[in-house]
Amino acid sequence: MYRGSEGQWAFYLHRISGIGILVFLVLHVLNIASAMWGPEVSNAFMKFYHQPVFQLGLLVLIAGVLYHGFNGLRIILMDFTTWGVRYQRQLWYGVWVLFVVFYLPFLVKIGGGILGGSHGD
Amino acid sequence: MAIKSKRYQEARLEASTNLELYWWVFMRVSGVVLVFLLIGHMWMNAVLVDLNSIDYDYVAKRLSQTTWKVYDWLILALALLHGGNGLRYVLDDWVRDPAKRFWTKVVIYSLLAFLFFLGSLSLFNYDYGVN
Amino acid sequence: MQVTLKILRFDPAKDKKPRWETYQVEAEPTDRVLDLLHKVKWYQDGSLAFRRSCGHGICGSDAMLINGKNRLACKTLVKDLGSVITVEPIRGLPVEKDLIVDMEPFFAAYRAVKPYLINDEPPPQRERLQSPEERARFDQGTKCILCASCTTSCPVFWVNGTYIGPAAIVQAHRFIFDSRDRGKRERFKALGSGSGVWRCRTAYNCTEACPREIPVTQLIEEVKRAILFDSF
Ligand code: HEM
Ligand code: HEM
Ligand code: SF4
Ligand code: FES
Repeated sequence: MYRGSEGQWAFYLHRISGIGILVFLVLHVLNIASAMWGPEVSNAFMKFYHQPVFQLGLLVLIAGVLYHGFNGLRIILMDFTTWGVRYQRQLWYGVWVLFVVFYLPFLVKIGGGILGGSHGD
Repeated sequence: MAIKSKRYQEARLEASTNLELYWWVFMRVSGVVLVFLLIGHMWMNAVLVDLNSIDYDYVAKRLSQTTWKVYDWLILALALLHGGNGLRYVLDDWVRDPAKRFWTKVVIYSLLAFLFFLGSLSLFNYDYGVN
Repeated sequence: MQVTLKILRFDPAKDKKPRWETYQVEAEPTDRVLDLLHKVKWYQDGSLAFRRSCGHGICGSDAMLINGKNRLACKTLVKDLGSVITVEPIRGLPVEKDLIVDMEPFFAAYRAVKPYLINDEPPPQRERLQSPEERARFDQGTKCILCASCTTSCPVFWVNGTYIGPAAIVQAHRFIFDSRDRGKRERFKALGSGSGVWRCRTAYNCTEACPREIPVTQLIEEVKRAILFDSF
């Protein structure tokens, strides 16, 4: 493995999270759009996705969206300001600070739900 | 756009090269819009409500309001274009065999186009009979 | 001190795949990796193949992947690496033998950006004058020694060899920002395609690898902006 530092990991994570979100989007739209076929079909999908495994998966997805989004803003700052490249490392740590701040509410709410056993119907 | 070429061929070369620039700009513009849309979307559906309460009735109620139709459609369109183009970058890097790359792209673009069609239908062409 | 030197070797006549070879070498902490390679080649195994010329960081011929990072063997000291040292050929270019790679794809990308002054205007009586500020604008790029450390440290280049690579973009920067040059549109053509600057994903390996301390990513971003502002 090449011993790159922050920038290299920022890139690999950005790429992997981007692909992950796209895969989720496919399943997600199929799930939501199934409402066109009425409550029976739709609720069957919903029940399926309410299983704890998928809620864990959702937590991973939310982490992916938050990281990809904030790191995307970092990339934009590097592209359009004269100082962004110089402070790319600090910006990346900033990405993680924002990540933690925004992730906590999701983690508490969804994680609490999984542990509290309120899944199913 | 400043085209300064003397011959048609050169002009075409210059014109066609700008395509990658436009995608590059689009990735950034759509990205900025998507951060706000997506954090808002996830907040409304996973923090403000209990995930487990999401069912047909919930979706039908939300999707009968024009605001969320438009909001969701923006996410749908921007995320598919942004993600689709991002995936094109990735495939150009990772799938180096021209024939394989071509067919992978055909399959994936078709899937994304179908998804856009399906998603748009569910948002605008279907009456959930709520009101 | 005793150094364990692991070298990734490849002999096209015998090997199907590269193989690791380990050597024990006596070294001073102030020895350079290049000295270790010499000790192996001269006293232990004459078949070891690697490039070097100047021996002091100016010809750009001995970029290698040393302990996981691209560096020049002639500028890397043993004391900065410890007693176990691994040496591999730089990545993304075809290996010819041991640490020698085929540099032709790298130089093809270099030529694609037209790395020479382009100016059709009639030359003035004496010379094309330039202020110190104008000269400073492209100074960093002039320090490049074309060692390929940057291009072969790039995660995009490893998987996609059609990417023009940081070194060629640094060279393009050197002319695009030269007040005497008139050829930027021609260079933009090579840089604006799907294999040009827009493939850069700002992973910063290039900047960290450059032995001349050129802020490679900074220059690449300046080239992106130059194309952007030229087109809108
Ligand atoms: C949340 C807001 C988002 C922001 C701010 C954002 C930002 C960006 C930016 C700036 C890039 C270009 C990266 C570069 O040129 O180095 C990018 C690439 C990418 N994005 Fe997003 N994006 C967002 C959401 C999404 C979504 C929803 C998806 C999937 C549906 C996605 C998938 C991708 C993919 C696959 C790439 C290509 C990665 C690569 O080439 O390495 N992004 N994103
Ligand atoms: C915490 C994670 C998420 C939850 C709980 C969630 C939930 C929902 C729900 C309940 C709907 C129905 C309509 C509405 O309420 O607006 C919906 C629609 C939608 N969501 Fe999400 N979502 C999540 C994340 C995402 C992400 C990350 C994306 C984009 C990459 C996305 C894209 C969409 C789209 C495009 C629609 C409209 C679907 C259609 O066309 O029928 N969602 N989502
Ligand atoms: S920019 Fe630096 S790393 Fe790249 S070729 Fe030039 S000297 Fe070597
Ligand atoms: S031998 Fe010339 S740069 Fe190292």
